[in-house]
Amino acid sequence: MSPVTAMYVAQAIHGLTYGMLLFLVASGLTLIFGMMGILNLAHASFFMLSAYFCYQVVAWTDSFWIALILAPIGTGLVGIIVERFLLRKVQKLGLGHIGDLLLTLGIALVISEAVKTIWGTESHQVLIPPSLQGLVTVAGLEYPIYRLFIIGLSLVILGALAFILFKTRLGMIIRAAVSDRDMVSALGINMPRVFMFVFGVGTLMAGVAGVAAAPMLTVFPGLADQIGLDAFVVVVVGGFGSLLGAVVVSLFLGELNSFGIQFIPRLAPVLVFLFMALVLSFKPMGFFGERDE
Amino acid sequence: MRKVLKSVSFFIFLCLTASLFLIGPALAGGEFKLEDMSDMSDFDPNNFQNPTGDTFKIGVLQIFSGPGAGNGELFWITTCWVAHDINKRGGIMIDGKKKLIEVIKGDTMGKPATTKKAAEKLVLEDKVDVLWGTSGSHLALVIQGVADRYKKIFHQSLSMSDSLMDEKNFNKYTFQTMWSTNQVGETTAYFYSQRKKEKKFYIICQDYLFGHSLAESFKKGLTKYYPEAEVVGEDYHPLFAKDFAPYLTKAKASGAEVIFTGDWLPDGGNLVKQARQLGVNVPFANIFIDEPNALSAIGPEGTKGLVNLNQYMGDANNEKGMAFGNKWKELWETKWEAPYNTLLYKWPGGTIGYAVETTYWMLDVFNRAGSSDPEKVIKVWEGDVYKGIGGNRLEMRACDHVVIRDTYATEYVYPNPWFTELSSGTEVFTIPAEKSMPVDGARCK
Amino acid sequence: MSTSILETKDLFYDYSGLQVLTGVNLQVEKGERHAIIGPNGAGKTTLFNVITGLYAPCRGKVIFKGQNVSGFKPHKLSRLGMGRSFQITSTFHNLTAFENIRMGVLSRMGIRFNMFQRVDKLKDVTRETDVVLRRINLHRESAVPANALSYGKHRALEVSLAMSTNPDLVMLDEPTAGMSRDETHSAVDLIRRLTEGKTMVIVEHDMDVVFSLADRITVLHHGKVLAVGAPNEIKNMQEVKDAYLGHGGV
Repeated sequence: MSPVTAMYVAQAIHGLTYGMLLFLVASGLTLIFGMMGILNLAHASFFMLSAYFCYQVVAWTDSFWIALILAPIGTGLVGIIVERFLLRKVQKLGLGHIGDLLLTLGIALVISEAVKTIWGTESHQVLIPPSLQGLVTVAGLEYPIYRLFIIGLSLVILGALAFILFKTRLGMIIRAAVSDRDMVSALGINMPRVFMFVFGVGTLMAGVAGVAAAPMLTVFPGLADQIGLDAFVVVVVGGFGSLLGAVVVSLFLGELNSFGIQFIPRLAPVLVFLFMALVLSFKPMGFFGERDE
Repeated sequence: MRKVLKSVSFFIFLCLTASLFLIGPALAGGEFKLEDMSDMSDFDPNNFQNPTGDTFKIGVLQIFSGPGAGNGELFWITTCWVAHDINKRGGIMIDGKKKLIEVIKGDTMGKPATTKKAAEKLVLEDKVDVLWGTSGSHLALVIQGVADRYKKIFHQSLSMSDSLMDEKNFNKYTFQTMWSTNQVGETTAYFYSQRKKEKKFYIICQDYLFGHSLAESFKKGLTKYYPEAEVVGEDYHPLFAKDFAPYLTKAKASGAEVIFTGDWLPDGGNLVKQARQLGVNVPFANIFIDEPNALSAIGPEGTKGLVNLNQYMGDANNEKGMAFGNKWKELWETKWEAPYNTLLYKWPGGTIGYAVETTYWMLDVFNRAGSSDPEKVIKVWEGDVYKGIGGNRLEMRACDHVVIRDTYATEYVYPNPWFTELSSGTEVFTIPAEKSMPVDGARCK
Repeated sequence: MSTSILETKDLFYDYSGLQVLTGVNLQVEKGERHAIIGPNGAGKTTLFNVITGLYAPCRGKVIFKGQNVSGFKPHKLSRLGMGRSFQITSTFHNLTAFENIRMGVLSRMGIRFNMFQRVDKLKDVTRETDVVLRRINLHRESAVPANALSYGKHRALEVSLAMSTNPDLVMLDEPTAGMSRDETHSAVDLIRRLTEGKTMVIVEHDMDVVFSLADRITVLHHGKVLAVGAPNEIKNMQEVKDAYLGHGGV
């Protein structure tokens, strides 16, 4: 492979890595919105919380692998508690979207203060597990194993999610609820419980992303900011509630980021928003928008 | 009788003149003397006791809450250290009596509006004698405004923008002891021009005013000192960027021998860490990637070859500096508790070093002025020369109140006498003050 | 008493101060097709929503199959045997016709607990879904997403979705709203066919539909029951005409 080709291929894989990470965060956000009509402003905070859980579990057990399992589960449990004891109560007050927005914004603030109180404001480091350190050489291109691992992990989760959504009864219910949750409960399905489950799974996936990102970045209180913003762009552009939209747009944004930096670096930081503005002016519901309310 | 009187008064005149000559140098400038430093073994940064009564008050403007609160923590220990030392020595002479030093926090939260509020509260409510801080040139500028309005001395110790003391922004109450971007640019360029090992440079900076002006200064410096060198590419990334891989891949492909970056943490640390993870082993010339906690995560191998440029640097060959450093480190090892027990606080190098050093200088200036009347302080500080912790010379340029000083560069190696967890610099290269000057403000022409 | 499947007793509901239902007493007999009519703003849809559990009544009771179900959640009512449709077309428009019907078939067959079961492997569910699709003449469009169906077929899908849980009582909210004459005609036929032998409550605007489908009619006016009777009786009642039909010209 010539050095120039190698550079482009490397950029493409960088885009894929970030795109997949973004997908893990955005898919939960879009499912929660699509089904429950809730724009969860705290979603990226769960991503950050999980990175802190990861840091803590690694500090206790010295094992990234245990952290990869425990941290997202812990995050998902926090998500379930939030849904069951806070969100559901607020929704009963009938404040509409304002209630949800205020509550989730409040939760984001609480999480951000909590991590500062518990772990301090300094940056924490999580190391790549020894088995994933280093580079592999494929066709003359050197690439870090850990980034390939992130892509693989995300693919497994994408596969599991697609299986659940398109093959299982629960998936049928979730997809049906995206278009009409009242009718789903008229068919005898306990929607509050399904909501709780979806909220839990959504936060769990954000949690997986948080753990995966931890060794690439530092764990610090501002960790959620940028990926949170990008995830919102994905959901808006992909269409609220559309999982397919989340996959396609996440990967596209990842590549847009990589090749934007490669070719037009001065514009790279705003490309995402230009892209969003462009899409929304032609397709206000996003690429795969399904909700018609 | 007349004759006697005449000769007595002549004698007295002579004595006075002689004493003026003798005292003169002492009046003209101060010096940090380790032998004068108090026994600091009872200093506890987590439990600093402010004196009560009629005190001399320093208002420290920093981020004390939110994601940047680590900054406040850092400059809390440096200011309290100096205050504790001076207090044990009996304080400083203000208006004919010795006053003890009190340190008061002003939380900027990193935002201009809160910075203004915090600075005004320190001046109006706490009645501080001097304002001290702060990180972020846009915030420093806000404090300069407050200093000007209420006629308070502002010791600008942490922001580097060249424009802070230019014709437009200069005010006589502000004194900048932080080196400026032009000094960084010249320092870096001069260092590489002397070394003549690398010729191809790539610039990666944060995409805001500071990053861009630092890059400009560096390019200007190269033109001045090292015209054979070539900038093979430059990129500016958003603050708190998540993925540096695309930039690094570009930099690697460009054939760069050095990547120059002005990134502060966490960006700077993530940049180096991801470079090493990607197998990009190009060295980084940097000014802020010297934080040991972040570096230890990258490990000794990954931090080898980093070139750090600074206005203060621990140097094993500098006896005076080492004597001070060893005292600090001993307390770190034996006394201090979280958060002050991490690697960041092990040695008073870099940031800790200059924050401590310039705070000593500032108090010395007030002491010599014998007053906190700003007019008197200005008179003393303008053109003042102070001998710093390592015997180094600090000069406050009278025309625009910016510091002129030697600066330093070092290449990280492993093993080194400082840390077992990371690479660090052993050989310190001094860039003479005349080769790393601040911009000549219009006021100086 | 013993023959009525659904009853409301002195039902009140107000919408942030606005009294919508002011003491509704409704009785639906087992096996009848019962229509609720009334001029705009009479409270028909609100009554419908209180009965189906979307709103909890402020006062009064809803009794379904002899059990007080006031304030029960929709999914519980569904499990007790009350099926419903919505005024807004309430199919799952991103799912295919097949998947829509399968949702209903699944809940009828009571496979509620094994959420992770692969639905495409359940042979009997697939078979039953095909039967339903054939019955409503949608078997050729089984792979078409609901929102791509013609309006009439879409509504047919909706009614059959409401029926798919095999409920003892089915509640239909304006099932022919927005349909052309022809479509209305075949929809009425379809509803009659699907609800054969079932109890049905229908809220409807279109008097032709009401008079061709209903066995008994309750007229609602100002949040109260104005009259109850067979279509012929209602047609001839003076107060009903005054309140409602008078201007409608039926």
